Amino acid sequence: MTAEAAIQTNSLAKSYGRIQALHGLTMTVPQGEVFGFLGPNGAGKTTAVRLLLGLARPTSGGGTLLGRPLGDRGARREVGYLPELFRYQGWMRADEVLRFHCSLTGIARGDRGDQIERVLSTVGLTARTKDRVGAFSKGMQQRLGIGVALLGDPKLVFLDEPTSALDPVGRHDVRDIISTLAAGGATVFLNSHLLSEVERICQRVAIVDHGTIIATGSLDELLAGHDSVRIRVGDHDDALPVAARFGSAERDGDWIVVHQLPDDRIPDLVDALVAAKMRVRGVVPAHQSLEDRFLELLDAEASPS
Amino acid sequence: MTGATGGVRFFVTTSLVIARATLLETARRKLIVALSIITFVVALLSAWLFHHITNNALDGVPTEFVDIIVSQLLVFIAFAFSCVLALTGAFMAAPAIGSEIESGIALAIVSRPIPRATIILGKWLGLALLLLVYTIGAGVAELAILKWTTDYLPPDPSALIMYLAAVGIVVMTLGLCLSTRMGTMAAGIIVIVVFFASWMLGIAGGVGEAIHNDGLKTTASVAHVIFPSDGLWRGALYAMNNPDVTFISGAAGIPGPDGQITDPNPFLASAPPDGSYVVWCGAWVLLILGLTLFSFRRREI
Repeated sequence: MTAEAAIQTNSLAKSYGRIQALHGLTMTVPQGEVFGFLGPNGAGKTTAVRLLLGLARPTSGGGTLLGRPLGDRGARREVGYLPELFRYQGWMRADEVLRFHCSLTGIARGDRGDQIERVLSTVGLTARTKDRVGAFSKGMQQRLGIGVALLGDPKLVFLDEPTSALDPVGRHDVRDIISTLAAGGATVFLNSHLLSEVERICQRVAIVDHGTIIATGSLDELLAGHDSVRIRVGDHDDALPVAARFGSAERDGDWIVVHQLPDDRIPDLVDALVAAKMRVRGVVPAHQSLEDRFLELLDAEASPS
Repeated sequence: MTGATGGVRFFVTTSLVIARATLLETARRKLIVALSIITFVVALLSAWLFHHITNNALDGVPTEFVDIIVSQLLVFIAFAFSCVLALTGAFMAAPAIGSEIESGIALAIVSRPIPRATIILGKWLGLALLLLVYTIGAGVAELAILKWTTDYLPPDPSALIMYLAAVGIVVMTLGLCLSTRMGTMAAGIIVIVVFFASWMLGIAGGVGEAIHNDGLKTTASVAHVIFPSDGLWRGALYAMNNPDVTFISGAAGIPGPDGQITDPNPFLASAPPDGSYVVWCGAWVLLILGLTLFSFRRREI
């Protein structure tokens, strides 16, 4: 029997008047996975998160969170959430905000002190425990928000743009936090524009545009077949037909670029060029980044031909 | 402990946590200090006023007349105090939900495993407690000053304080309800306008009583049912009416078609609100709270 999915949605849709924010979102996020939810501004990412958390009602469709219907309070007990618009009571101290959320989460009174101490340490705010949140920088407020999301050892953590206000050190810390959560078996639903970070920490991603998922899968699956290799040889004109046998090939200055060539076929290409009496002076495999793939998918979506 | 018992306990505990946070916020935002200082200054001024009137301005005037003048001054002070309570209730309640939604604070709270009703109930409890304690504190202080400087007390001081607190709570309850659907400014302005409109309709009803005009009387009665702040203010008026003033006003009344003379003074209440009206005021608060819960449950964050 397979483990219950952390998130499962079935044709989840949401419209605001005539604006369709989300068109039939269908996806499954297995437990224990770091899942990247990507898309341009206005693609419907935050709407999807709000529907999943029961903050808004779907126009149609439905889904489950940790095996329970969307909006179920029992499921929310095991969920942590850092909103994109993170704001906490400025008149409270950092430890008071956390204690307040401990109470709302139903964490036993005796465990609250340890929980608060631990998350403050995790997000690097131990030295600011007794400071008013109103005096915090945006980055510190975001760190506090991550701490709030970590209270109660949630099984599922929604992080909506968790590094938008953080410096490089903070981003590194967040990557560590996500890795630690994943190592502990938690599911992380990461909504981010920073694709380089997503590429480093997510196992699977979904790319959403205009309220619809346009691609989903593991990073290997998404990027498979989109690698290329750059080859430098003495005689380009003779080499081009040979290279073309391995994929779409084109001249790029002194180089020949062969598109969509998997890494394991590069030696075959080199062998073929050598067999054709050509001197291979350079071979540079070029992996397509998630960002390139993301832009490519959005372009394809914008101009289907 | 059964699941249901645990659920009720969590509901109550969470409501109290929200209520505590609401009170803490008013304290941290220095509202309580500001109210205390202003009330202290007003109490000092009124002490000087009452002392000056009874010891200088009305020196040698019979006690009954002094009491009448003092009682009328008390009515005006109580009216100003009821306005302060209404404004305080409106300004505290109007941003209570709406501003937290606008700022994003609500996102982290509402996504917690709590019924939304606990947020409404907690906010209402916190604000109602603050209004009640403030009204009792300021009311007792003012009446103590009155007694000390003039040796006069209204006929029913405790009823006076309770009716005034109820005015504040009624206004606050409407503000909280509107706050679930409106921005702070709109909710605050609407509540204040409704409060003063209710008061004006109450005066119109008093005039209607005096001149035996059924239209004015009915309008005021309907207004008292829809928004009971003026109905409760009438209760406060009755609780501080000097019997001599009631007698004089009644004697100056105009005979009606049935020959009955009705009190012509719209700033007097010749009778207390009856029991059923007081019950209705309680039911009104519960009704509006229910509407607030319904509205907030339906609100998308």
